[in-house]
Amino acid sequence: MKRLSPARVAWTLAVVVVLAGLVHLTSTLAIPAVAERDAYARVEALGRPFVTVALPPASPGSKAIPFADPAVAGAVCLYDLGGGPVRARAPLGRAGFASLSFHSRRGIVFYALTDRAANKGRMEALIVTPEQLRMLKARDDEDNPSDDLRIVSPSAKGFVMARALSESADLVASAQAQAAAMTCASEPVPEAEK
Amino acid sequence: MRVYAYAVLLGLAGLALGLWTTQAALTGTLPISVDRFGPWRTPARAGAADADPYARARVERSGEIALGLGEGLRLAAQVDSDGRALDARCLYRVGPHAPPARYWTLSVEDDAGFPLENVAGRYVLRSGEILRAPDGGFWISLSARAQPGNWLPLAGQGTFVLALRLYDPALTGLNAGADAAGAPRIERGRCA
Repeated sequence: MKRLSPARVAWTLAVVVVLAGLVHLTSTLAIPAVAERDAYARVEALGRPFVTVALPPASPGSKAIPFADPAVAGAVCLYDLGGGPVRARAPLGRAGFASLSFHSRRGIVFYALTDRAANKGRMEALIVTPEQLRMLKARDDEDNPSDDLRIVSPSAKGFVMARALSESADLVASAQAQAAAMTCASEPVPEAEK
Repeated sequence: MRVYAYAVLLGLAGLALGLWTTQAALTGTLPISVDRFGPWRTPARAGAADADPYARARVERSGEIALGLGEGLRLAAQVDSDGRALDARCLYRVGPHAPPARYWTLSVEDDAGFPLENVAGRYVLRSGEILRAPDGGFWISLSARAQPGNWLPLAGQGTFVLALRLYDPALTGLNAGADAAGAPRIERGRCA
């Protein structure tokens, strides 16, 4: 073996650091695409699209979804925008805190709203693709604007999560019923012109 | 031949170091893209539509259904306020205040994110159901044995994770420096 000159050591370290940087970036960016037990996969295992599934309460015995709050009842609904925009609705109830969150196929919470944003006693939103949003806008009546809250989903598939917090242990059942009352349903593709 | 061996060695070293840093960043060994509030940690903007790749990779790998930025956030502690790892054989007290939020809950989890099995079947305490001092302050005891006042059971022999979830927090852009004082302290008492 030749003697290691300082220049050669520095060069070697530089190559290793650059390689490590590339590997680090690639692996970090690749994880959302290759993770097999991500939230979407777990939700997909629980139910079919457009069917609301109440999540089992977080307890040592139920391992459906990790890092869930035992005080919060949850329900999920898978959606697919292939057949048109999807309307998600959740009625309010006795829960101290209730919310709807919208999750893409790849681990992004792209929108969330709470009971503070509720209108007419319910939380409601219309999930659309960018294309569907354009069609809806083209059809909008300027004098009588739609009061839909339109949310653009970054992926055609995703899921909606409804949460309802029980303020005390005896309100768990009512929170569960409230979360499970969420619905998500496909609506017809809007016509381009009227 | 020696050149090839050298190149392969360099490649392996780069691969190993790269994968290690990814693992370390995602498990929290390296504090990349993490907000700190005293002993509490939370991935920076995990619930935002523009979450950075680290936050996204963490959420995807864990399988959790993350709280959206508008809903609230989950703070997790694996150490007490003196920096010692949380140990289920010890007695802890948590308080005397929590960051301002419409509701908060405190729960004890294992490393995989599931509640710790305990004989009492209690996994969580809610901000609305705890006993408070006249000034609104509180102390919550964590221990395997039942305690008077606010008690959250611990179980087992090993480490655990304490999760504090804030719903509808008053400050959405929690600022680490300003809010470390608002996060509860985790004080260790005697250990069995």
